[in-house]
Amino acid sequence: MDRAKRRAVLQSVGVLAAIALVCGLLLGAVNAFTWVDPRTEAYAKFAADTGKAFTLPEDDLGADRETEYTVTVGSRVMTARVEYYALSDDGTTHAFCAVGSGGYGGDVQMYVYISGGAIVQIVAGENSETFMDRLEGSASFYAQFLNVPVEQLLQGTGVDHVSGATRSSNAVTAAIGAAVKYYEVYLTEGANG
Amino acid sequence: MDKAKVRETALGGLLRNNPTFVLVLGTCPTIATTTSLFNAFAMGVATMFVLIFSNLFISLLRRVIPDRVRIPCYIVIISTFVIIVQMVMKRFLPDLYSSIGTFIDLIVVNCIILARAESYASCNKPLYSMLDGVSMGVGFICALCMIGIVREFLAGGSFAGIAIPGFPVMDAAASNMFGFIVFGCLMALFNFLVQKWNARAARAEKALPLAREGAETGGAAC
Repeated sequence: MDRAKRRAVLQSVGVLAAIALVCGLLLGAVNAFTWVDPRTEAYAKFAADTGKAFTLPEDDLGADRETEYTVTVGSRVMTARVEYYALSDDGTTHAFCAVGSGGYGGDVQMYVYISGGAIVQIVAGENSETFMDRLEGSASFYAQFLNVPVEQLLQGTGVDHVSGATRSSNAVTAAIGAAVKYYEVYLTEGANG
Repeated sequence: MDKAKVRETALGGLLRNNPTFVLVLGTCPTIATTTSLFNAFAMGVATMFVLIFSNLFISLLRRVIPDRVRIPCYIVIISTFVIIVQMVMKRFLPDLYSSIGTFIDLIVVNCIILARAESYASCNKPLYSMLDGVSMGVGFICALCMIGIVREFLAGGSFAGIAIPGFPVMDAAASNMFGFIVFGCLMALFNFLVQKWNARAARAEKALPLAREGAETGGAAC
């Protein structure tokens, strides 16, 4: 490589690196201004969805618990995790922020609310799925989880997917499955024990 | 500043070089986010913000950026402003973010922004480039809003979220297929009107020397 060519390559790399560095610093500054603790955000979402109060605990209770699950959706074994859990101040509603993997656009965050031993509300959280509106528009997809006893859901009787949004349906089902497992294993069994 | 160039740049994005209806750029977000007027407007504003600032920075650095790495440099600059829009929207407008957040990421590869960076900002001064960003952005917002108004009215029987009673709702209008049909019809109407406007402007331009001549000769030619 002659000297002029080497100099041109070094100049190109240097300029690109300098621009990337300045852009990174700019993003860091904006991030410092806009960042919100995700746990605070999840608790605010719980309160907004249910209309009930959820007090943020001083320490992160249950942080040492196992929150990763494998959920069987049809013939597929998928992974999902519960990121945040809270009980409403009146003690009636269990709120979960769960994330299912394997969606068309990656992970799918779902907010699941259980009251009286059954799921009473499901709200989609952060996701990059372009077909989530098909799930929202389907009259039967979320209906197969709502008001069904948790014991029945744990038996895994099979879930009907939304046509054209199979991967999104799988990821959502996995997230709901993780919330149900967490509820059953740690809350019901823990309370009995 | 050259007044003629300012006028040409300012009006270019709105009419003659409208990014949506004339250059047919950014069709993916156009169809995806125009199911309601509010979403269309928000997407347009987000794109305009990125356009203005990416044009400004690319123009400022146009003599520094080597030709062989110009596209990676443009992408780094554009994606920085897209992420800024995303962070601000997520923090202050969470409902809007949950509605159109998926498509905000795609602004990085929006051909309107990359096309303006490559064809305008890289060879013009910063103020002209910013003006081009404003013009293209306003043209994009207007186009999105026009499509959004029609689709929201037909699919939801409402205007800007306000229900208009007495009109039959057509669910299919929210579909992408119908979005393309509305897009095509409005594009045809827009181009028809712009061509008429151009023809009138050309006639006026031709008539101008005669008028000037007439003025010089005491209006005898009129």
